[in-house]
Amino acid sequence: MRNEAVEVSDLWFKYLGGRSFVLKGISFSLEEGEWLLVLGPTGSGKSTLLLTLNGIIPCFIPGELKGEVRVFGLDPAKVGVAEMARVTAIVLQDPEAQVIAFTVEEEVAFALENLLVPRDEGLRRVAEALRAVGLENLRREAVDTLSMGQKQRLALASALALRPRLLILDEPTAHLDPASALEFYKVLSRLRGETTVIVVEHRVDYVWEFVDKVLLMENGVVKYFGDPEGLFNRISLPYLLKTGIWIPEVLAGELVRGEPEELGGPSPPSSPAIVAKQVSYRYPGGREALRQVSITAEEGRVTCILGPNGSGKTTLLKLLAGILKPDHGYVLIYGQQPRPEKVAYVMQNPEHMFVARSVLEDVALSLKSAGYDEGEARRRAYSLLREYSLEEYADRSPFELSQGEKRLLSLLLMAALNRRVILMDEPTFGLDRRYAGIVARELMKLARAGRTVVVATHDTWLVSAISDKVIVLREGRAIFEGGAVEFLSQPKLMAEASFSPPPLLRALVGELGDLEKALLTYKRYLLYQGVRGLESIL
Amino acid sequence: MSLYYEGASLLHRLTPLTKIVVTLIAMFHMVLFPQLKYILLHLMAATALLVTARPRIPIRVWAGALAVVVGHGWINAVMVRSGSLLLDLGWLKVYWEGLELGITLAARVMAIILYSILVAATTNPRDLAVSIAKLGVDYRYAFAAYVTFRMAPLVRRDLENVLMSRKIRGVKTRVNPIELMASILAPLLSLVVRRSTLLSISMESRAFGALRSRAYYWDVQSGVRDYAFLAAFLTYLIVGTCLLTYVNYP
Repeated sequence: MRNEAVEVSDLWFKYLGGRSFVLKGISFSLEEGEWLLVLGPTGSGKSTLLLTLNGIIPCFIPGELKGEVRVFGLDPAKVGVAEMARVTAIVLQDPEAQVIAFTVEEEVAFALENLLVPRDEGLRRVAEALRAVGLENLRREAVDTLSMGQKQRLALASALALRPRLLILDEPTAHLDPASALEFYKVLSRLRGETTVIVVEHRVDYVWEFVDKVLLMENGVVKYFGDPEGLFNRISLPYLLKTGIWIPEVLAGELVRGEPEELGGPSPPSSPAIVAKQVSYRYPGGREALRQVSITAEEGRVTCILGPNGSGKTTLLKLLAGILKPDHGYVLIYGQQPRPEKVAYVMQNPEHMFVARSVLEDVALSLKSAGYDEGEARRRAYSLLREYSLEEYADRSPFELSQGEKRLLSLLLMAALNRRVILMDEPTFGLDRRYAGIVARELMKLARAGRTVVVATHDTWLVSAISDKVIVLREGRAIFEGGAVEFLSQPKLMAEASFSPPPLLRALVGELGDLEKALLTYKRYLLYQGVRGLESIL
Repeated sequence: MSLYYEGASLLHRLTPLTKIVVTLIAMFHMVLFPQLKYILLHLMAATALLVTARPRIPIRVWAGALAVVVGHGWINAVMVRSGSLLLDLGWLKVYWEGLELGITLAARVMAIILYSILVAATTNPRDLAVSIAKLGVDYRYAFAAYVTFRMAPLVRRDLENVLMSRKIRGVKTRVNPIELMASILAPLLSLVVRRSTLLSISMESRAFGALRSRAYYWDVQSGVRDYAFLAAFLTYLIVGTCLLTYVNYP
């Protein structure tokens, strides 16, 4: 019989100054070596639950905690975070914010030095962990030169080097390209049966086959805890879709098969809006991020930029926005030099974009920039907030919103500027299916309204669902530019782009035998939720 | 802001403590011998070290340093209200004695800035933390400086992003200055607080502070090179001071 690894009994938690409890009577237990996938919509309390398991709540984040948590017999709230590091390791959502050291190997060694692991043993573990996440060639690199995805792998390596008995992962692959994310879980699967893993992951298809248990949370309450298969026996698929959570696509796909051709149609006629010719860029004192990239993006279409971590996607977006100036070559937006004040650029971190004290004021500010007078801007801001289902937060500070709401607001702020070109950097990472669907639909709407929309993303579903055109970057070079269908029909090219088609799309292609029809059905499922029998519920 | 860059110069290979001790000796010497001729000794030494270390210092750092030096010297120069008149603009009088004082003080500030830049540009923050901890200071405090260096570029990037976002959004800058500051500081503070909290969480989650001591895989040991450098610097100062004090130049 295996040891009990985690036991949570009747756990309640309310943040200091919070209006209500975020966790409401959570109970579950895990045996050593079991893997648990925590599911739930944005704001359901998933991350809060994870933070109680190594004592971050309440040691760092104060609030009212009731109930009991035991991790290998230890009470994290009493033992403290540092002591819990002997048995647990945690990877947080934001990889950049958790980097401590200046170089890659120092970062991975940090915890081992703290635990007085002998040098030889420690350096061996550092090398193993870096190899496991594919960073062994960058061990002496400065952390600041890594891409976001590489930083996320580094965070994983730091956790793996600790060889924890409980590994807590909060969206560990959010910044990884699809191939790296799949590879990550392949590497992690070696720990099955030995290390207990609790993971919050929106790419559920990648992890589904490895988990022993699933915990479904909604509004701080456990709706289901048990085997993965039992989830669909106990809770209906329509209900799960209604919650807005990500569920394995192949299972959700059961509902959409058989009605492929009602949606879509050709994109409206388009003309080139963005032209980049032979563009090269090297960061000051750093690596060459882009090499002779030539691309175009057309008006009225969604262009998705894909590529492995560190391939230059964000750099290209910044060059298109005029934030960076190319070392060689040129960029033209509607025939003119790009200027930041002429485009709408949605940054990866939405918090960089808020300037006003309230959500309503912030949106009104964008509208005033677009030419509306004060009164009209406020009136229109309110109606836009209603369109985006954010009206209840109109008087709140933008910083008080949830991650999903912040991201949606950042898109709204840019859409309200009414610019012809909209550039977005990873617009859907970390969002639940409901919010991600809203963002994707808005992007489609903006494109169909005649804007030029360019999106850098790792989300395979987003590419499949909204892209009219795909640009693939690899090692700073553009290796493909063409239609989504053309891209999705070339397995070798997809492999070079570290892209793996969504499971449901693959299944639909197998069933329908036609990629275009399969894509239409896929869009229908993701964007319009027009699934037969679900309309009344959704 | 961290000025550190990797390199293999003599200064890079010295321990942080050696460099700090040299800087302290230099400052002490400048207090004991405040005349311009002695301070020139330091300017010469710092310039020679600068040439050998070749630090990649951003232009804005030099511009800031120059502004401090000139500003400091100028204010001290015009504060002197007696002596031989050099310049009379009616509302402003500059005396020879004032000018001499201003140049001397500016040179002293310049020397201190140069030494500091040399230490900052050639000292790995990790080595600094390790050196401080090895002096017997609790490693949790020793790493405070390390974390500050870590945070600085991130905060600077946050500020750049906040300012760029304002530019993209066409936010008017010619508004009430208090409102302007508030609209920049509010997001920046929110980001800094979040970053600090997450960094603390990240450190403790990786057993920082769990034990009374910690291992150092990249240890910092003073060696012959450090002692030789220290001896050479002291010799240079003593010989230079004696020559400037006791030898009468024509």
